[in-house]
Amino acid sequence: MKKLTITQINELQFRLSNDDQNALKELFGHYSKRLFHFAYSIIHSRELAEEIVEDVFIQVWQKRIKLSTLENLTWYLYVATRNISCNYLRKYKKVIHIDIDELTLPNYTIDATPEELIISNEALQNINKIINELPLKCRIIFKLVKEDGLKYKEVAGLLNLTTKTVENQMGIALKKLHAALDHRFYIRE
Amino acid sequence: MGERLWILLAKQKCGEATTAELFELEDLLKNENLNGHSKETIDRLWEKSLMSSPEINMDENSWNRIQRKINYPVSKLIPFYKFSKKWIAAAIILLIAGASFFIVHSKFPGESLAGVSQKKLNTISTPPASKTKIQLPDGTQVWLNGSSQVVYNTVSFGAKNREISLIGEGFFDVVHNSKIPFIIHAENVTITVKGTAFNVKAYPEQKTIETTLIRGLIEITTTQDPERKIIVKPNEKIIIPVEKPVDTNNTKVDSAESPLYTISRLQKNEKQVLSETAWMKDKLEFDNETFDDLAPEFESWFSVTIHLGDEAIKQKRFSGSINKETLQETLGAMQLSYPFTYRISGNEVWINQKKK
Repeated sequence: MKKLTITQINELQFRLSNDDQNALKELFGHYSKRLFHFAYSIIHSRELAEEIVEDVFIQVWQKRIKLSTLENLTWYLYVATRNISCNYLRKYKKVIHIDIDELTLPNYTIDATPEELIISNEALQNINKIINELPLKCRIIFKLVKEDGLKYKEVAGLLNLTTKTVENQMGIALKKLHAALDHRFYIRE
Repeated sequence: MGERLWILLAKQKCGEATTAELFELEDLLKNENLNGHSKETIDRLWEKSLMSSPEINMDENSWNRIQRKINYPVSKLIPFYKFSKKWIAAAIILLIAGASFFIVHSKFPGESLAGVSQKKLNTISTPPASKTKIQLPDGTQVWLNGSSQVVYNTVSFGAKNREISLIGEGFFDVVHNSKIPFIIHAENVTITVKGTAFNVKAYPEQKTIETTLIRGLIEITTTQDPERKIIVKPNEKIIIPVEKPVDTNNTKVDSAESPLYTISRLQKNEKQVLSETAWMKDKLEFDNETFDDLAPEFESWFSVTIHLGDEAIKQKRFSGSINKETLQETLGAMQLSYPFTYRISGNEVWINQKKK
């Protein structure tokens, strides 16, 4: 997914503060899926995750004036998603904190052909297998950092972890990916 | 290779490494024999997206729902939403008529209400012109308007099903439970709540069943055509004729030829109040409003049908505030500001210009 530049985000914030609903729609287009995935991983329900993301964007609209000067809108959206998800957890599951071991994650696959990566089909399958075999904590961190482009500090704050943990887990993810590719699976010219 | 190397490599990749860490990494790499090809491949795949499989995505109507909520904030219409908003996924109003065969005709899968021992059935009813709030065993909250009744099976409700029968009018704030759907039976209509809250109005005098959805999604089926599922969207009102106790074969033929139901958009009045949900408020206030505008609000508030005599009376303007006052008291007070006559017969009210 294409990430918005800071300038683009700032522009959206400006348009939002001028009551431009199309700006909200664009924001929704860029972020809804990722936030939905994040909410889903916490709440384990597609239906509720949808409601949560809808609530997030309604909240953005309600607070659009305040948010116009916000420095990190992306971070705000994730935190709002987490907080609203927590509220739902409390309400429906009587759970107070997010337990990282209780997250539900879908299987992930790299959206690329073996040709694009210049590896064999087997190697690509192996990479996908490795990603999905990463421990839950490692996998959600990997997803949020690599795919969603969040900073280590942000992921740590979001999941109530230390930055050190995020560092370590990213190191583990990278090491395992490397191991998946090393020697045997690489096509030699 | 030490873990430190991987941590630093990852940090470098994610733009998290400090200058000092980059130097440290450089040193470490001198002593390590990193597979260059693998590194290049990882650089390449880092640029690619991660897809979830199976792909899970949001409902395509999500944006529309957001847009509706932004443009028609429900909390402004119905104060109850303010403290129960998160529970609510759907809000509907249902108007039901001819509920005389109600208990016999109610279809509870597996067991008919009529066949269940009365001990197992819990009936909650309200006297005319009163409102009450109850909580069902699953936590669902119900505001019942006057002359209304809710029946459910105390044994199976919440355990096996969440089905109730309704006469009259109620607002349902349903606790979410994806495993046991909340179903309302009223006359020939069955409403399945896809979301979580709705308002039901169900009086025996009407010839039709009106269902108005404020928020969320509900699914409606009728006994005439149980296979046909009608999905009602927010701000839509669906009107279904009450099934007449006639030859069922004919009904089937009719339903195929004549429209079984009509759907219309909701109209808000100047005060941004839906007359369909006006009764939900604690207080009905009106300020210099014509009788013509007031009539639908009164109809909802007092659950009556109002017939205004002529144009002249329709254009008369009134101001006031109703809380616990009865219809008679209200009309009596209004007569002080403008003399008119009224006649109440059952739930019908006729209002006429005073003859000079």
